[in-house]
Amino acid sequence: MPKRILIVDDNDDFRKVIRQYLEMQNLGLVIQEAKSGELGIARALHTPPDVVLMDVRLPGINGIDAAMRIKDNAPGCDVIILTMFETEEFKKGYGKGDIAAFIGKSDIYDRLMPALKRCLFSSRKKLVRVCDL
Amino acid sequence: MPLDFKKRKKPDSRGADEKLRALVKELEDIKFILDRYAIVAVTDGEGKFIHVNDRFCKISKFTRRELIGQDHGTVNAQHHPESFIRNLWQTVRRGKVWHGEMCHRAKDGSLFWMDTIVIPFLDPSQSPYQYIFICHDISVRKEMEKAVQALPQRIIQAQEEDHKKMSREIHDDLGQSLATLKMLIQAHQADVTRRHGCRPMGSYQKIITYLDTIIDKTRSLAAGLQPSILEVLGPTAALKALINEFRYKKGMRIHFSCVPLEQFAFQAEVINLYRIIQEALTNIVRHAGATHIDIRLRKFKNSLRIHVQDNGCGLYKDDKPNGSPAGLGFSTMRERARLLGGNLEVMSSPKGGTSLAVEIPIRLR
Repeated sequence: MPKRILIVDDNDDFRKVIRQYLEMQNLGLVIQEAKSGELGIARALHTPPDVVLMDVRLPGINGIDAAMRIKDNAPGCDVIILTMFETEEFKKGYGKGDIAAFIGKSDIYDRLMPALKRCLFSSRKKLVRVCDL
Repeated sequence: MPLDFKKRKKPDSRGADEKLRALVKELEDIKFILDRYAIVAVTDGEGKFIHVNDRFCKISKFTRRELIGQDHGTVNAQHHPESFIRNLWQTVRRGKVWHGEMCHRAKDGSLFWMDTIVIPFLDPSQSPYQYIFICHDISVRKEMEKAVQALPQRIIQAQEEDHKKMSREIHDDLGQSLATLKMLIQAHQADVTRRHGCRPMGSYQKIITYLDTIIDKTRSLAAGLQPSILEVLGPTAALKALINEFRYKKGMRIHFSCVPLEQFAFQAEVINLYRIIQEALTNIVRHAGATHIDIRLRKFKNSLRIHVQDNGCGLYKDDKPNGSPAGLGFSTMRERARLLGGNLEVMSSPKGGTSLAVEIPIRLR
């Protein structure tokens, strides 16, 4: 069964680039998109994803709260935060939460695939501490 | 000068009628002028209205019938402290004239301000037996004063809103576009490597490194305009980040203790609290020559007390005594404290460093 990825980001170009990037990996992923936290929650309710790639600052509900709501409905789903925020305090603030990875948007090319593969294919899913990234 | 009508000599019998008529005419003229240009009320010795002119009725929105016989407190707005009202009555009961600006409440509950002179009428024993209130409506001026006083706060609020908007555009739009561009270049670099079976020229890496620098600058610029961490992580985390920035970038030794601020609701945007501490730290770094800073944020009853103390040279190099300076951004900090419904005090001595104390009202969320 193909793995499902949900990209939640309000920037249309960014979602498009991430989609293209993921499609290039030939992992047979089913990719869904949402441009707000609310839409992301609705999509995840309808079709629970395996991994959510979530922005933090979104119109309406913020990405962290939206991710937690999605996880409430789909506990097996992993959340990878993709954000322009990159302060240590930010990572500390949310590192203790149930977030698989926290990746700066300018580091996506180097960090996203390893984190995503870990979530998708690791036989024993383990949470990656933000400080380890 | 109190009016002492009862002391006036009785007119001589010769021509008494004429003099009396002239006097009555004079009094009528004075009354006419007073009624035309002033708001007038007369109370008895107990402070109960015995006369109010049309202008008084108009501004207070009470009819004459509703006011006559009632205590002056009928139009009391409860705006002034008790001591203010006590001082008024103590002054006029001593036979002195009282002058001040008073806030009143009209029948419909609206407030109005009057510049008020209260003149006691004295009997032969110099005891006041009634009081005349001669007033002018200063409500418009008071409104303007209030607006002028609030102007710096409105400017600060407008500035913060602009900064927030600009920061979002820089951070979310420009920064994100740069990050996307970097990713596209990296993907292209990988594609070239795959097709040609060798690593492409170093120019790719130069572009990526330069893009990273621009992204960092964009992030710093956005954070300088509006600390986005405040919006996303909340005030406690944002203050910790701010303190750490001063610790590591400016090499300051800072002791920081803070109650969790997320539990409180403030009268204005919490960014004002953040900015006060940021401005205090910036001042210390720039001017105080301090090596140690102590910052405490504590809850006390229904307020939050913020105390920032440094061990620097103080604000007064010419050894002036303790006081509260106006410069160095303190006026902006004070306006921010006012925006939060509180107050700010700065104390300084040449060898004792500078102490900044802010107290703002809070309520639990």
